[in-house]
Amino acid sequence: MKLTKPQIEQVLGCIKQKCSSYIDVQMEILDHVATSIEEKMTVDGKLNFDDALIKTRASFGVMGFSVMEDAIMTGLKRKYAKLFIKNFFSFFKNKYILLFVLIGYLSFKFQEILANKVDAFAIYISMCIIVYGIVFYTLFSKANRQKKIMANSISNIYLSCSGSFLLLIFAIIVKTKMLTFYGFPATQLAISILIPLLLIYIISALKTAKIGAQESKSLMEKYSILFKMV
Amino acid sequence: MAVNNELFKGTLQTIILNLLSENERMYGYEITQKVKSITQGELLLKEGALYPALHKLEADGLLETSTEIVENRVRKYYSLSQSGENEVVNKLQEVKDFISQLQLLLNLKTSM
Repeated sequence: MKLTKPQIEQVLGCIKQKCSSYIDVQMEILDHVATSIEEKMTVDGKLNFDDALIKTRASFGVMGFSVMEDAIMTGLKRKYAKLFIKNFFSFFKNKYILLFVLIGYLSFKFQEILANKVDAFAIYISMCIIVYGIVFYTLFSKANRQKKIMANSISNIYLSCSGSFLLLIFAIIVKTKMLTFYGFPATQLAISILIPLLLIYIISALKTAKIGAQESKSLMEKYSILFKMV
Repeated sequence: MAVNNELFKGTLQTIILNLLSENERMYGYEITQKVKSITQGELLLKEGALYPALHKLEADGLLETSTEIVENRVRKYYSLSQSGENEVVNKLQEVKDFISQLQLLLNLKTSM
C-alpha cells in the first residue's frame, strides 16, 4: 500500500517536530519511515495509517529519530573532513609545489621592497581583508544559500575556520617581530611561508564548499518539486 | 532469535558491502528488509546500527549515493564505489578467515 501525498506530508510534519531542521536529514528519515509504514499497512490490511505511524515511531526506540540524525551528521563530518584533507594535500605535489615556492619567494621579495615603508601589521590587515572578502563572498553567494541542508553547512566549516589561520599568522607576527633567523627578519620569513599555506588552505576549503553546495543544490531542487518550497 | 548486537557489529559493514555487490543499488529500508528476508527474520538490522554503518562507508569512499524522487518523497540510493568493489572481496575473505578461526577456537573449547 502506497502513502498519499497528504500522508507523506503528515509524516514529514511529525519528523520536523522531533528532529533537526536540516532537509537532507529529514528526507532520509522520511523515506525510511514512509516505507516502513507502507510495509506495515501491506502486511496487516486492517492497520490504518495513524496506527502504522505510531508503530513505526515506536520501533525507533527511546532515542527516536535522533539515532539516524546523529549517524547522518557524523557521516557528513567525516566525509567532508576527508575531502578537505585530500584537497589540501593534493597541492603538495610536484606540479604545485614549485608554484607555491615561487609565491613564497615573491611575497618575501615584496616585503623586502616594502620594508621601512609598510609595517608587517599593514600587510596582515590587507591579508585579512582579502581572505574575509573571499570567505564572505562564498558563504553569502547565490550558489551557497542552502542553509537548511546539513551537507552544505558542514562543507562550509573549513572556509569559516580560515579566521583561525589568520589568528595564527597574527600570533607569529607578534612573537617574531624583533627576531632574526640566519640574518633574515623572522617575521618576513614566517609570512612568506604562511602566505602559500594560507592560499592552499583557502583553495582547499573553497573546493570542499563547492562540492557541498552542488550536492545540496541537487537535493534542494527535488525537495522544492515535492513540497513547493522556493 | 535475539542476536547480540556486538556480534553483529563487527561484520555489519561486510554484510552491507556484500548486499550492494549483489544488488547494484539499494536504499536504507530495503537493506533492513533484505537482511530480514535472507535470515528469515532471525537477524534484525535496526536503524541505529544500519545508518551509522552506511554513512561511515560513504565517508570512507566505499559507497556512492544518488537521490531520486520516488512515490512523493526523495529516496537516497547507496551503491558501491570503485574502491568499494575492490574492498568487498577483501572484507569477505577477512570474515571467512575469522569464522574458520572462530570455529576452530570454539570447537577446541567444547572438546576440552
